[in-house]
Amino acid sequence: MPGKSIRSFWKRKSAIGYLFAAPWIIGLVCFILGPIVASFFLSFTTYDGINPPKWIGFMNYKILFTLDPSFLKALGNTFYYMFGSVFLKVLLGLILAVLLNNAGKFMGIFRTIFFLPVVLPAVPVMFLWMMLFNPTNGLINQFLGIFGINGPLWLNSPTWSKPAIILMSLWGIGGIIVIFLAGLQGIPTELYEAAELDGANKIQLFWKITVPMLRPVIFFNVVTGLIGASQVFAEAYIMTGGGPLESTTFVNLMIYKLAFKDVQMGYASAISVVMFLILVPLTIVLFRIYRRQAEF
Amino acid sequence: MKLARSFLIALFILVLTTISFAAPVVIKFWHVYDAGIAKQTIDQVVTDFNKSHEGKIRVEALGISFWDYWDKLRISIAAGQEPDVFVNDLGDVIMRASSGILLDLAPYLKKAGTDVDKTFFKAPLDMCRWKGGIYALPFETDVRLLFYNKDLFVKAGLDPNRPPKTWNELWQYADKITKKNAQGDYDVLGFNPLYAQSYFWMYVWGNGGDFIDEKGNLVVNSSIVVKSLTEWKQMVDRLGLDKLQKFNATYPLGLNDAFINGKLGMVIQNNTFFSQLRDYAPNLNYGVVQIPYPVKPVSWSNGFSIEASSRSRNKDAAAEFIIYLTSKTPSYLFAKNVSSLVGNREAAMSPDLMSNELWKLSVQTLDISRFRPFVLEYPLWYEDLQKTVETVLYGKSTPQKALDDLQKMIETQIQKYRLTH
Repeated sequence: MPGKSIRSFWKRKSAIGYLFAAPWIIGLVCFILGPIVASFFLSFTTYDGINPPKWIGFMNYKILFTLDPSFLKALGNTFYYMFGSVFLKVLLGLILAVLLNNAGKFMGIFRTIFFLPVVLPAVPVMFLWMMLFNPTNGLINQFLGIFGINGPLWLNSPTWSKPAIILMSLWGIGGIIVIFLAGLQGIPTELYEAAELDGANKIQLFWKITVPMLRPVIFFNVVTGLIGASQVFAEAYIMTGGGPLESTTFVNLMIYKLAFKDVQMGYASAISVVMFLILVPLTIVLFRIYRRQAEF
Repeated sequence: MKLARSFLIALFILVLTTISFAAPVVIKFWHVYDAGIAKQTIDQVVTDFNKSHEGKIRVEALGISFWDYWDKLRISIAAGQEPDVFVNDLGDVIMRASSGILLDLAPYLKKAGTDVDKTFFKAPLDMCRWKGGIYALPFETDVRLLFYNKDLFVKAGLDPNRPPKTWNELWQYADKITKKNAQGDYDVLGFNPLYAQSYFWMYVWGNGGDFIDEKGNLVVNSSIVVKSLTEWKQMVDRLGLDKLQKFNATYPLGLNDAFINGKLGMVIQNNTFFSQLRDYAPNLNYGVVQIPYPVKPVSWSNGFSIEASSRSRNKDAAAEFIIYLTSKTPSYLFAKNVSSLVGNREAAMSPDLMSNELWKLSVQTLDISRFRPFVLEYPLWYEDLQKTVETVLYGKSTPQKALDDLQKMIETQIQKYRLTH
């Protein structure tokens, strides 16, 4: 009997599909779902990566909410970065995409140019940005100097370090531009023609047609952008180490330091779980809004 | 017939045992020397060991890039598949010793007749001791020294052969070297207390202070630490935190290093800094001395230890290899080829090495050098000390209040440790 059911399973077309998706499914289970479940379990233990985890109940959570003020600061930094970078990226991405959309036959070239930085490896790019942010010899402050502006210390200033990292995130704007461009192609030209006949100018076209028609795409970019930005880690790890004055200590950097330098895997897992419990409702709410926008 | 059968069985067992005796015990050794002369030297040491232990022990060495090494080792330990012998951080041996992962080498050292106190430098060896045992041996260590630019000394009208001895002299000399540009930024700086390897804890030690009280507790708000932080802030304020930060950001360490580029008169650096100077600034005319001190001379050390896993199936062989690796001849070879300060005192004191002035200075400095005390409940306390110093420098708190806050934090961390362990 089992032989027969296996055969019928393979006869079904979906089985082949699962087979082709198997590498991804295995990866998802082993490297994403597995660790999520494991860290959920570890958050109730003391674990040093050497001896078996020791069950301590809700102690890690109790410590996190009563004895550790640094978590709230890291959470604040992370939200600052999430909303700052996504706002700037979506705004600038939209403007650039609209401009590119009118670039005619050069669009392909520009699209490639803007997308190119996305595929470059992150660490060398960060070193490049550290040079750009150099307060004395860096291109950014030299450029500001032309207008008589005395540029800030950027990564070395507690006030400007997060804006600097947000500015740097624009490096990856190509992905957003490409999605916007695809959205723009989908707007029927009749709408623009009709509006032009009615005497609408370029700015009116943008606000009254482009933005409303692109709303689902804008929301898609905001939602995926926020989720992606909540993972911010490498920038702080490589460029600032979390400083100055902990201004770039993001939650993920804090988790990394606790887990791998302080060897408090259990406590670090508790922070991951709390972060998960904050991000999941946020994501659900954002996707609800997105779906409503997409349906409009 | 029966006799023949028993004879055959006996022969079979004999052959089997000879084969199994002939097969050497294999031990795995992981280290961070994955390239260049360091790798060649370690390879040679391992080859020599394998030759002299042919048929008994075979060491399989694996060099892993420093940047990947720590994660790889940690994961292998978590999976229970760590190598028998591995290089690790000399600063936190106790953390691993207390977890039970490390093999106590004391009985093996005793058996081998090694007098550890005679063989190794005291400060790095003390980092390997825990509860009467010796859980690692110091392979490499280092010291912090003051490198000074002789040309900048001459330009400022100072005698290049009379470097500063005290912290007061350091500032007198530094002020003569410092030059500002039209915008009021530092073009050349005599000394920057926030640059390179200049750390606040060394200044506290230099003031005669300590972070461990007579009961063995971590105490950071004693009057001497508060006084030191007050002085530290005064030094920084005199030069201007903003301007120093700008200087630091302008000259990130590495190729753009301020000292390498002739923009810094004096710098506190690791003893191995000379190799960077040799490679990046071969024409720089510099001298090296012990770090000037406010009250008493001091330096700061760290390094690499060699450790064996307590879960190794070949503990004897692992211990034998560690004792060999840190013994005089291999250590000497490593010191000579890599110019790294080895933990083996006899090797480091070899006359031909001591004929090099910088080497001699480094070895002498080890006598006054200290390690950051390790606190099991709060291993990264010094990072929070640095943050506290930063808070004071930015004017967000006073030295007394900030250090009191840190002391409270220490108590919280210790409480946290006790609640979870």
